[in-house]
Amino acid sequence: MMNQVLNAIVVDDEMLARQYLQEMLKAHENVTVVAECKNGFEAVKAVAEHNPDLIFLDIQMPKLDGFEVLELIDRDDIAVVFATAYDQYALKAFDSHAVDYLLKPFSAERLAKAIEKVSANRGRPLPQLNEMKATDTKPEALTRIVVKDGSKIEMIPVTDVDYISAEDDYVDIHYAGKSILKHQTLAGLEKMLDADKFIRIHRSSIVNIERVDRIELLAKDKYIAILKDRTELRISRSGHKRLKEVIG
Amino acid sequence: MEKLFRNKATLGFFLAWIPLTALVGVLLHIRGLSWTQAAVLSVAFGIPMSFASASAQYMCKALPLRRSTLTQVVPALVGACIVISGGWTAAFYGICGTTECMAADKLAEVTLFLFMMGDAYFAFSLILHYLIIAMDEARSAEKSADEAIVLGREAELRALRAQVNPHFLFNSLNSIAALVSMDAGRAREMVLLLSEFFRSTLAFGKQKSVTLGEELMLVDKYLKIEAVRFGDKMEVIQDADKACLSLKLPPLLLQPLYENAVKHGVSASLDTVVIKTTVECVKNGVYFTIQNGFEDDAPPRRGTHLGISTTRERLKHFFGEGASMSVKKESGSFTVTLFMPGIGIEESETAL
Repeated sequence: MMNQVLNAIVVDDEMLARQYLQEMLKAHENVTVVAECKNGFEAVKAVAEHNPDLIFLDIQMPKLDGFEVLELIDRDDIAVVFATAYDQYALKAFDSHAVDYLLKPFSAERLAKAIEKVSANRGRPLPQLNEMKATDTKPEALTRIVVKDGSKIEMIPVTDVDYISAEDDYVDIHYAGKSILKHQTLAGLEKMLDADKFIRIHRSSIVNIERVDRIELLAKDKYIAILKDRTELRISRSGHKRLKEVIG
Repeated sequence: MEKLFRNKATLGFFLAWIPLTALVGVLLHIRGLSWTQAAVLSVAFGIPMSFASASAQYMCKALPLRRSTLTQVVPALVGACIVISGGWTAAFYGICGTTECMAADKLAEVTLFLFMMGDAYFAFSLILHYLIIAMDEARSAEKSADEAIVLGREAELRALRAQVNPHFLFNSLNSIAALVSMDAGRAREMVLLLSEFFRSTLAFGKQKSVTLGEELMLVDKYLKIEAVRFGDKMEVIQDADKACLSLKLPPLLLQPLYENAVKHGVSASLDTVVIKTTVECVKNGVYFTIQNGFEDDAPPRRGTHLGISTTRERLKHFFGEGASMSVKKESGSFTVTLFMPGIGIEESETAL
């Protein structure tokens, strides 16, 4: 098992941090660095190109942060070792997942432990993104949604979002008169959005309450939400209850 | 006497004696004196009594209620009433008796009446003075409590600023860890820069003020450390008028603005970010400006507002209302400008 080579990419915006990690990795014959990336864009590209087994990922970076990179590469069989200078993210270690966290500067021993852990759990699905982010000591609601659209990366401010509907394994994000599909569960996205502004009104939809024009009663216990752009969305009974709690 | 009037409360005291003197006049008229007699007598009574009453404040100050016992205060005050009022009435009795200004029985009655009035007035003014003193004390206690809160808050903020920013520390240590095997000389340089920076920060945390020049030297050390981390991603430009570097300001007022510029500008951008400092001396103070580039689509980072509002708060505490601060965020450029009143060009030139 240990002899199986892991193809890895190193993602950090600081040159010295990348060099330090590269130097430390020389001692690990089972890890081959196939690419070094200076930012999130490069990382997303490198993952598509090299299809690595392991990614060393800095959290705070220009353009895209580490979590956004993970969202965009959309692979849950990849092993991830986060590296960050300060545990503002409480950095909970997920047992029996191919995830670990390193606090910079880290020792050679700590790095060896991380590699051991992720290779032992290799191939197992990653924890949900919202679970990993929930380890944050000061969780903050999502301010933008990142979506990969072909080779382009869209960054949608949540304030632009009208509503989000579930389409099988995807969510369909409706914003600024357009819509875009993203591979994510509606429940997973719901947990990362500000619960005071985005309400799950139905099993299949989340609405930005600022876009709701009015709520109409169709039949007994059958409500629909009419948005400002005249879109009609079905409201379930529990959805109606949640909506009433926020709107009053 | 001029000194007595200089105090507004004392002046009020003299004015208050005008209606009281008039009241004595009316009461004397009721007791059978002619209007002329009553007027002359009441003025002759009122003027010296008003001085006596006004100067009763010195007696009250000499015998503060809080620090004196009743056995000290009561006899002294009663004695003073009798001496003051008795002194005047004795003089009146003597003068009026020899000039036979009125019948003997009338004279006795008026004298007794004026003696009682004098006692009552003097006692009344003593009570009034004690009240004024108590009010003043309460007010100044409140004021010094307010000042203590402001000073305490400033000390708290200063201590907070002098604390090590953990992000900065651990990122710097990580750079050193990388440099040790690659470039030992630069690693050592970085260790020395960090030591100097933290030593100055600790020293600043204990001071009430530093000069603008000292603050900018600390900023320079900070930026040198960050330059090791960010390499050519960061460019520093400084245009400081040396004439006003002796301006005093609260320590670590400006350094956090540079931390913000690095955090939201340099570290969150793909391309090179310029941090530009301008110090401009004007007649009545100093304009300090820091400007940095940033990328609109950078991932959200936490906390700037607290840093900015703390700077504003400390600026106002230290310089008062004459100081000002403006924050301008345009696309791609973030600018903070501080105006600190104080040394102007002329003074600074003579000072140098």
